[in-house]
This record gives sequence, structure tokens and C-alpha cells, in this order.
Amino acid sequence: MPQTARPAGRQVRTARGAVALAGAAALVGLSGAPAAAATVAQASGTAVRVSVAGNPADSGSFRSTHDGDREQTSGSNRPAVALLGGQDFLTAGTLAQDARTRVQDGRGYTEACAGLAGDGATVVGVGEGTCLRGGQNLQLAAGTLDLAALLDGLGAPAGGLPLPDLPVPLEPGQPDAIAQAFNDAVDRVAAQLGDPGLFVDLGAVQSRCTSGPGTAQGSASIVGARAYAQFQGEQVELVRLPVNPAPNTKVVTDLGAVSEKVRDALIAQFTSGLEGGLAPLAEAAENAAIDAALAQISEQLAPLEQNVLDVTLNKQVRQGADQITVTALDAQVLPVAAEQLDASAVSLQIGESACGPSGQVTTAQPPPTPDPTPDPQPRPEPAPRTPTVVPAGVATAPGTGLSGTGVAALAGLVALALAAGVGRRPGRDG
Amino acid sequence: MTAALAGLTRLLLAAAAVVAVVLLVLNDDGDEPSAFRSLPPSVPVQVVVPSLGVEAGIDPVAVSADRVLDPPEDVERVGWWDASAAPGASAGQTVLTGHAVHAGGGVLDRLPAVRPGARVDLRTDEGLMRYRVTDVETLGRDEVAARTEELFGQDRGDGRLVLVSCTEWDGAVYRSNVVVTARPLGEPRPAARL
Repeated sequence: MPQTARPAGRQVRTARGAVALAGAAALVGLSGAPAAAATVAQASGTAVRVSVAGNPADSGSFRSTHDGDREQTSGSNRPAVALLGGQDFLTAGTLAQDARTRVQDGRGYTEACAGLAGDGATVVGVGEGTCLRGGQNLQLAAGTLDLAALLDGLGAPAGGLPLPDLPVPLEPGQPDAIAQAFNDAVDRVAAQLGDPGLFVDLGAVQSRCTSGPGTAQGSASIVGARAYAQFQGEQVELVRLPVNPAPNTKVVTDLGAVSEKVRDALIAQFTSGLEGGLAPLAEAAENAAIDAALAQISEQLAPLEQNVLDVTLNKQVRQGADQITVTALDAQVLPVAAEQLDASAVSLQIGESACGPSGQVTTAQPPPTPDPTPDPQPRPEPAPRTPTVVPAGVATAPGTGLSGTGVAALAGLVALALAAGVGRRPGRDG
Repeated sequence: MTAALAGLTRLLLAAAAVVAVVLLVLNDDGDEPSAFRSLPPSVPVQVVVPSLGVEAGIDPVAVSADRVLDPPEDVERVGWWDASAAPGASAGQTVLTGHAVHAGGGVLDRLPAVRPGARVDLRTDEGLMRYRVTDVETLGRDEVAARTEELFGQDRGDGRLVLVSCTEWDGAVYRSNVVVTARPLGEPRPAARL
């Protein structure tokens, strides 16, 4: 994978005299990094990973590392959707993945972002605090629900619908007529609804992370994301995702909305059939027939009531105090549901940003004595040194006129500072 | 009859008190999560403490090699320790410090007067992060040094805010620090942005 050196930005201060320690090479972990240089900071962004029926594809990653002297990057920060070969789930949209590392005052800092948006989105890069802005909504076809096959199994059993004992006995021929009305209703609904498509709409889905010595943060933004089933010209919403989800927000959804729509259509058709083409049924008999039909329908549509989609939003995994991986959206069609619904198992991760670990530039030291049993575990970087003194009090503000009290106070402070031998920023205390 | 009315009144008052307590409890523990949402971590640019009349800009400041955290030179601005957690982070502690000026004019002159329950808002490029003050402590220099990891350590905390200034002017110097801690609530949803 090609590596390029990115010119230092105005915020990037190159540490002078930084010499890499070979012993820190355990932190490198990146095959493309120079073997002799220790990595002080590292970050990466991966726009999309998708797997359909076990065939994985991804957008590659954009990586940035810093060895204390300069930043090195590899990969593309604006990959084309066409890279995602071997699948037709994701064929349009704008991908973005970016990462940046810098060293300031000898300490490593990182930031990364990654995501997916609709066509027309602007790729703005991690320096802008986000990867993508604007763009149209993107419609992803998650599959087609084989509703016809589901309804095929719904025909009335031989002998008609199992009706309970009725207060008024049915006339001869009525049980068969009820069963026929039910089967007609199923046929009409199957033709009327067709096989609905399952879709996911996305506006912009992206994550971002930052890290520094002893600290790492991440967040995700999800705009205009929802899943729905589309019948002939009509949409039934399954789930709508929150815009700024809390870390590790779980969302599961079933196809209960689809089930409800099918059930309502069947009962409407069945009721119409009972009232239209048959000899008039007593009200009690009609109600019993509808109840029996409902029981039959509910049993057949039961798979739709199971969770089919398992989504984690703003998935955050902390590998250490200064290392985090954030995935904006991690979704999968549950394998069991995929099997029952005859759909492909789809696994989708959008916007994976990884930041850290980030260390500290160390000065040159004599080569250490080789250790015959090197520690296989990389040691975590220490947290930043906390302050032990916070001198946030002064007698008077700089540049202000001194009152008599102020002069006396200043004289006292100067005397105290001199007595204490404090030379730095005299007059500060507390 | 009068006694019965008085008894009924007492009963109603007691019931009202119970309802009020229940509502307070619900407001404290039940309403807050729904009134706020998470905010992407970002560098703070402004601090607002309404109860103190504080509204100040923020500059990043660093800890020196000898572990001193100086506020900005401009006593009307507040410093954010640039290695501490950014507002919105779910871990670490966000550390701010600002001057107390004995002659007046320091941005955090009145910090010792803040009370638990007071509101503190930090503005970032991502939005507004709200905190609620939980503790106000006066600590001597030795105590601050001894408790530095607890007060400022970045390997602990849930994104809480730590505000530090000086207090206890003895006629010549400030003898102590005032350390205010506040728990993070999140970004107020539009209806709660009051």
C-alpha cells in the first residue's frame, strides 16, 4: 500500500531532536511503517465494510501514523463505491475516510473520521471535525420479502377453518363456503401486496474520534436513517434511527409492521367475502370465522414477529485509555431470520474510526541491553502528568491601575515571592 | 366540624407534600436522561455559570514540566487543560482553571460562592454541554498536590467537570484552591434549553 508524507499543518509542531527507540516498535503494529521508527501516534478510518451471504467487501482504510518527525499516510481517503465489488447491496453514494496524527510538545494526538452519505455529499475531511456534509438520501435494497411463499402456506386446511362450537349451527355447505372465502382472501391479498422490498434509507452516517495522551473520545452522527418495507407504492416504516445515539445504542426490529398490514388486508378481504358471496351468516358465526382466520394468519406470520435486524449505533470499543474504535452503524440481518425469510445474511458496518494509542516522543538514549525475554505485551502509555500546582490567584489584574490596597498587596506578594525564591510569574499563588 | 375540616386540610397538605417529593425525585432521576442527549467531544470555547454571572471565553493551557497549570494571562478568560477530557467525553475529567483577582476583575473571583446544584454550561463547536455542580471544596496547596490524580487524573472519571481557582486571601497571597466538581448531564434537548 503506498505511503505518503503529509505536509505539516499549522497545528502540527514537529518535535525537534526526536529519536525513535527500537524497543517501542511493539507499538507500531502497522506493516507499512518504517521498522526503525517508533510510532508516536496512529489513527485510521474505514468508510464501509459489507458482507452479503458470506462475501465480504470493504472500502479499504486510510491510515495515518506519526513517528515524532513526520506524519505518514497510506490508503485512499476518498474511496469509490465501485471498490465494493462482489455485492449489489451498496452501489451508490459517497464514501469518506480520513485520519490525521500530529505531535505537539512531544506528545502524540490523533483524529479520524469515516462514513457514508448519499450522492452529492461533500467530503470535508477530518480537519473540519467531520468527514461528510450534505448529500441526497441513499436507498439501500436490503432484500425482498417472499410474502407470496409465506401466504402460500396459509390456505385453509382440509375441512375448512377450525370453528368452535357455535350457538347456531351452520347450514350445510357453509363451512366449505367459509374456507373458500378465506382462500380467496389469501389469493387476493397475495396479488394485491406482492413481495415487498426491504430498504434502508441513509442520509449521512459517520463517526469521529480523537485521542491524546491518556484520553480518547468518539462519537457518531446518523442523519435520515430508517428501515422500511415497500409494498406496491406504499411504505411501511420498520424503524427510524436516532441522530446522535449514545454510545453502544442497541436497536432491534422485527417485521411486525408488515405482519400487521398483511393481517389487516386479509381480514378485510375475508370479511368482505363472508358478507358478499355467501348465504347470510349469523353474526356469531361470522365473528367465530374471523377469529379462526386471525388465529390461522397469526400462526403463519409468526416469523415476521421475530427480530430480524440487529443494529448497534455509535459502537465504541476502548482498547485502552488512549485508544478507541468507533463504528457509527453496525447492522446485521440475523442469520436465523434470514433463513426463515429466505433472505441473504447481510452484515454492514458504516463509518469505523480508530484513534490511538498515542505516546510520547523520547530523547536519544544509549541502546538498551538486549532483553533475552522481551515482554510480548505492549505496555500502555502513561496518562498525562497531572498538575500539582494551580496558581490561579493574583492581587491585581495585569495592566490595571493599582489602588493603595493593591500596591500594598503587590508589595506583600513580591516580598513573599522573593522570600520563597519564586522567579516564575511572581505574585501567583493559591 | 371545624376539627374535621382541619384534619382534612392536614391530610391534603400531607398528600401534596408526598406528591411534591415524588415529583422532585422523578425530576432528578427520571426526567434528566430524557432532557439531555450526548454531545460529540470537542474543545470548549466558552464557559457560562449563570448563578455567578460568569460568561467567559476559554483558551487551551498546558501543564508545565514542573507540573504547574497556569490559567491564561488574560484574567477574564478561562483555561482548559489541553490534555484533559473534552466536553462530551464519556471518560476522563474536563479541567478548567481561571483567575481570582483580589482587586477584582478575575473571571472566577466568585467561584467559592457557587453552590451544589448550580448549572455550568460549556460551549463547543459541537454544541452546548451542561453540567450540575456536585461539590465545592477548599483545598490547601499540599492537599491539591496530594490529591492530584483524584482531582485531575485522566484515567478516571465519567467526563465530569473540574473548575479550579484560588481562595482564602490572607492579605498578601491566596492560600488555597477552590475546586468545584460538576457531573455531566449532556446537551439539553431543545425543550430543555432554558
